[in-house]
Amino acid sequence: MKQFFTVFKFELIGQLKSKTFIVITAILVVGILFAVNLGRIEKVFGGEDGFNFGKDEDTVMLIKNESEFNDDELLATFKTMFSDGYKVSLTDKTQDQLKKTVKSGDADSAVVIKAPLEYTYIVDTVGMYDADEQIINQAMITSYRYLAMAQSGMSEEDIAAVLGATVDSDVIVTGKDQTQSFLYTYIIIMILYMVLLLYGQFVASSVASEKSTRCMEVLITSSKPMNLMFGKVLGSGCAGLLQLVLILGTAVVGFRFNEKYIDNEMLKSLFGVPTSVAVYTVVFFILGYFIYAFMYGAAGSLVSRVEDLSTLIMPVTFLFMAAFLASVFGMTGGSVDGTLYTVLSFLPTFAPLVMLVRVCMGSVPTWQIAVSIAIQAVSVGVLGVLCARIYRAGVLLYGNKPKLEDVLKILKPVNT
Amino acid sequence: MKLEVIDISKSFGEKQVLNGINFTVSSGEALGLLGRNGAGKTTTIRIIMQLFPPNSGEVLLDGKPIDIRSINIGYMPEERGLYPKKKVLEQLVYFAELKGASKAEAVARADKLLERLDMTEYRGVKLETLSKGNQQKIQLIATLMCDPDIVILDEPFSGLDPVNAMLLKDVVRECIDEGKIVIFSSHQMNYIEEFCNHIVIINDGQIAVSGAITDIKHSYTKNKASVFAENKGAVADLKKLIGGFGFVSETEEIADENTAGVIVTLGDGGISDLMKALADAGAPVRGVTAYEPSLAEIFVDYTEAES
Repeated sequence: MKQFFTVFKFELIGQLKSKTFIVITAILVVGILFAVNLGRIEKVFGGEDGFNFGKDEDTVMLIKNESEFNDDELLATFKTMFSDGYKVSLTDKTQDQLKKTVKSGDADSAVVIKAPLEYTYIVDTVGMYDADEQIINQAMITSYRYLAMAQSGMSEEDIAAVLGATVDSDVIVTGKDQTQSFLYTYIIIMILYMVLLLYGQFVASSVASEKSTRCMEVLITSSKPMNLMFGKVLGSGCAGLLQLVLILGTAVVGFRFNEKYIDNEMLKSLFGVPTSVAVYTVVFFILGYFIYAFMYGAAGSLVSRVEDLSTLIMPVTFLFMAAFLASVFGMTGGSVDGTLYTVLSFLPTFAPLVMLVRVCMGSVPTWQIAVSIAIQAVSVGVLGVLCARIYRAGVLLYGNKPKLEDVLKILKPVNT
Repeated sequence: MKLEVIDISKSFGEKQVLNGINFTVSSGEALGLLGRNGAGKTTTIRIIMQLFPPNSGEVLLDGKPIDIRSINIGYMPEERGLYPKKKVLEQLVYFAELKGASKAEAVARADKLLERLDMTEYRGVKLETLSKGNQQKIQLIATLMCDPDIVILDEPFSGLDPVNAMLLKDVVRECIDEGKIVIFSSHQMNYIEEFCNHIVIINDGQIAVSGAITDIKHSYTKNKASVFAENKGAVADLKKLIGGFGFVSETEEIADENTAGVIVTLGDGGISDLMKALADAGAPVRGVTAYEPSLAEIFVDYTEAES
């Protein structure tokens, strides 16, 4: 046990002191602090309106009315539709003149209304998320309906009531609302994917470098392979968990602290993660980490030179990517409680991600979660022992890349 | 303490690497494992270190099968085993802690050894910034960190300059004086000759010769004498003269450019007969000694003859 703690401490401290760890953690923490404080910063420095990123000036839109619409009413409708950041005004210029005006930049766009349901839109550049055309359509339709209703003799109040009608609705969700949970599930899966991959590969390269520098030969004659492997995997794992806690902790505390300044719906849904989901995330992170770290560690100990590492860890990475893709496809397909998905959520290499998706987005019976966690926990034990054996035997496996049969031979117990 | 290697054999796949290796070392003794590249020295050491088991035979410590992790043993592998990216003191302490030392003990021991080997200035730097020879010294320190009873050094001298080799020799000699068992492999005969009481020459996985160096030399040099001439010019005549003596079976010029003399293989006579005959003939001779081959000559002789 003492040796295990010696290895554990060495690996943990080594990891915490490493530049990569410090830099990545610092960048992420600072980034998150900035993001959650953005609202506050805007309010403090930018006044009540906040900062206006992008264009500083209002978009100038000119309207030429050639139709039977009433000029004033048309302008009023457009002004209501284009309220924020637009300066809408009427013009007498012809279409050709308007083209030149837009081209020269004196106006950003122009609308020539030829008939109640016909217009020409003149614009210099159409942005990626430009919705102006749809808004113009809306404005035109509204104006048209207004005109039609007015012509049929309806009073102005009645028209306003009809056009301004709204629907009240309530939604009762008996299972999970996937529109609510999708975003945070997606982000949680992405974070798990990245962190597990990062730390899994870290374990692989750490074992591989111990092997290529022959440190292993000294280590293995001083300590049991079990202590070495578990100490290493747990040491790096704790560093990973610490990093995750630091990053997520900063995010949660920062959000709570700045809650009233944040009006971004996406952020709000993200931080609206239920506590149970947060707890499951940590549980599946730990299980997934062990399952993959042991496999990565075993792959790393089969390497004789660090250059061969990428080839040998590829099968493990493929397995992991398969799990990731399965969870993403399940999420986007919305079929997280289907048969295939249910089966995958019990396979140890898929379960950490797939079961988490089901917990977040599906309606999983508790016993299934419990069984999946149990299967994963047993797998961790089995993989740990096998990995220590491969590690032990891998010490002397130098030279050619090992064949599958060599690896299988290793899995038999060794006495020393 | 007594370490016995009894009849060890090992094969990797079809290839028989070791065949019937036997030797014994006791506390305060140094044993040199000699052999050409690929002879099986490192394999023997790795079997002692239990990195893999032998196919047959056993390694005993004081009559009981050895358990490498429960005894105090320092092992310096052939291709060094340290962390290039870690600081020197950090990893020395780690290796000692794995062997059961407390942190304070480990730091104190590391400082002592660093000073002994003139390496104190590198205490806090990363290993990879050190020269190869200095890394080697750190490796030796790592080996001695647990104050081992048994020290096993695989090719400890490779890559050291003469000054550092001298320092290493002193440290190894101290280990012997402290009553440790020292086993080391080398193909640099001069070092082995200096402080090994016993040698084992391994050739093609088998013991070509083993025993105390003096005994081996004696058995090897029976009936040979070196006759030194006044100068290089006189050697040819001297050789002719000695060749004419009835009790001499063979004469050979000393190959060394800087030594003038003849190596004489005596037939039925002894060295005193040779001296008498030379005196009677009034030959231009500076001196006569029993011929003592260097270890290197014995080594080459045994390993070449076998292969």
